[in-house]
Amino acid sequence: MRVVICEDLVLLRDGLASLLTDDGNEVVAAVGDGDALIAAVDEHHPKLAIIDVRLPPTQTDEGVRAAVDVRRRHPDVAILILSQYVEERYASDLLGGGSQGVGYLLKDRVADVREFLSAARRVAAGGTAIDPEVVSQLLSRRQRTDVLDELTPREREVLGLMAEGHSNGAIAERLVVTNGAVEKHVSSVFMKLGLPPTDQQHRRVLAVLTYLGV
Amino acid sequence: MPAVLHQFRPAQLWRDSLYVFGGIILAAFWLTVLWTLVSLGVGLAVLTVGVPILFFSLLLWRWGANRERERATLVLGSPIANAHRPLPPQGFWKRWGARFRDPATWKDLLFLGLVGPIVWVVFGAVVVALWAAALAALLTPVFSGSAPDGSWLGGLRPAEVVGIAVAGLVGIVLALAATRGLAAASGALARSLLAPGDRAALEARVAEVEATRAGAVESADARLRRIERDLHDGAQHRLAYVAMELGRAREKLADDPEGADRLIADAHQESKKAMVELRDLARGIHPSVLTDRGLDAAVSALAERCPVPVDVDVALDRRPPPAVETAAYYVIAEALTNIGKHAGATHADVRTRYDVGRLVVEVADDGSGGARRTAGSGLDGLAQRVEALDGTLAVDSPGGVGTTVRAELPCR
Repeated sequence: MRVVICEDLVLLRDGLASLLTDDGNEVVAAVGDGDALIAAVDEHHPKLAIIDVRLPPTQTDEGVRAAVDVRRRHPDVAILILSQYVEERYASDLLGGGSQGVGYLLKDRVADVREFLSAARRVAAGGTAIDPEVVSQLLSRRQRTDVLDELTPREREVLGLMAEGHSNGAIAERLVVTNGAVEKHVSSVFMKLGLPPTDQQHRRVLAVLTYLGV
Repeated sequence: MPAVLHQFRPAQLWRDSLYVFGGIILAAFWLTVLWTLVSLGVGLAVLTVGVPILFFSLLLWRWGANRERERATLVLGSPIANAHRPLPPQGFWKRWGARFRDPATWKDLLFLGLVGPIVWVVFGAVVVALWAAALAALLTPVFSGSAPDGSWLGGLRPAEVVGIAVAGLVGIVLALAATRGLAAASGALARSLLAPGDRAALEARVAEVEATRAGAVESADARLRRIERDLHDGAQHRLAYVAMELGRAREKLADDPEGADRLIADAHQESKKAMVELRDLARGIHPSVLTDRGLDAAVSALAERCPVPVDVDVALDRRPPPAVETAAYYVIAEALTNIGKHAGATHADVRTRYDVGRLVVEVADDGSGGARRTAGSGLDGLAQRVEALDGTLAVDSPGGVGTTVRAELPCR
């Protein structure tokens, strides 16, 4: 797939580019700031944009703002944000416009090449990939009130893995249970969150959004 | 030169004379202007026009007293501290009320309108009289020969002429002593009226402590931000890269061992760079050699890393308190870093010594100069750090001549 990378530190930018190229992707542009990112996305219209949160000139959250911009201009371009730190606020900004084709991962995840690449593919295909740390941070915030309280610990675990973007099969593998058991938990989650039985993928996204509180 | 004679250097004599004789002219000015204005103001106060005149004269004498505080540098060696209470930041009448209520305002008037002029005129007259008498006596041998016969001067016997001349010499010494003594006395008088009282001094001190405390917090924050930045752009991202390269190498290991080896070699290199960066950063946060061995060893290490040859002279017979030692270290470290980066210098000198309860640190170079303390600069951070310890940081950096950074840190 065609990918645009936006990362200001050259070492990491080159590393990411080789990583993705090795996997058979085409890195059509690798840029160092938000303006260049938007120009590159306008020009190449890639499948996926991988964006560092911290970019010049302010070195704060330029990346998130650039990502929101890209999303508005090109809703079909998937976005994977890489961040040195977990910031709940960044996640909310990003997921505010829907969680389809959005990922938010700690930079550390790049080290697990296979998982990182599968997360990138998942996001590019319209799924989500939320870092477990982000998820647990959001979860601890959500624990105070609301519908999520009605979920059993197991259901909450399943929902957390859904938020990270895993399919039922992958969740079953992780929790070492059968596919059927996962499906049971998932439909129980949908019911408790009051989500109408429509398209399965759409309900999944809504559940995740409820869960993330955005 | 013994300490007593030090007081009688010609330069000091000129300054003393300038102070006292300048005072005579100022006495005439202030007596006339001030009392004219004040009596005019009081006289016309019923007609309201007097009120602005009084207000204006109050501003004038407060201003004049401040000039006197500065002028006292001539005889005291340093200006007298300003005793005026800080004015409220806004409110026209509040500010005027504060001026009227401030006792320093009325002491200023007392000094400028009465005590000062009297002292200068009287002391000036005494000094002039002494010098005139002494010089006249000293010059008696010159004039006695050409004096007309029958006059008093012409009728003196040679022994008497010599006697008078010797008395003239004694008179010169007396005049010297009187000039210094009376100048110092008038300076002391000025200080007693113009310097802040205990309460005012305390208030000023509190204001200063508040300002330097805020500065200290700010400079600590700025340092933390810089460390975070260095970590993020340095070791942290290198380690992320290393992890990524190793991850790629693992993927390749089975199919492409050579490619994997290249990736591992690359990661190895980067991990070493990350170690160097971490070490430099840790040293920048607090060099362990400073704690273990003191300023001399730590500064020598700094000097060795400086691209410009540095002479180090750390003449300390005992170690300063830790906070002072650390501040001194950072002054030197920052100054040497700046020299290495910007100064275009060929040589630098570092000197530290004790001077009357203070640690004096001086870093000088022969570079291009032009260094300044601007808000948020490295020098500003240093100054804040030094001021938080009640010290002072002076930067003398004339263009083209070089830069001298001098910090004085009290050691109690």
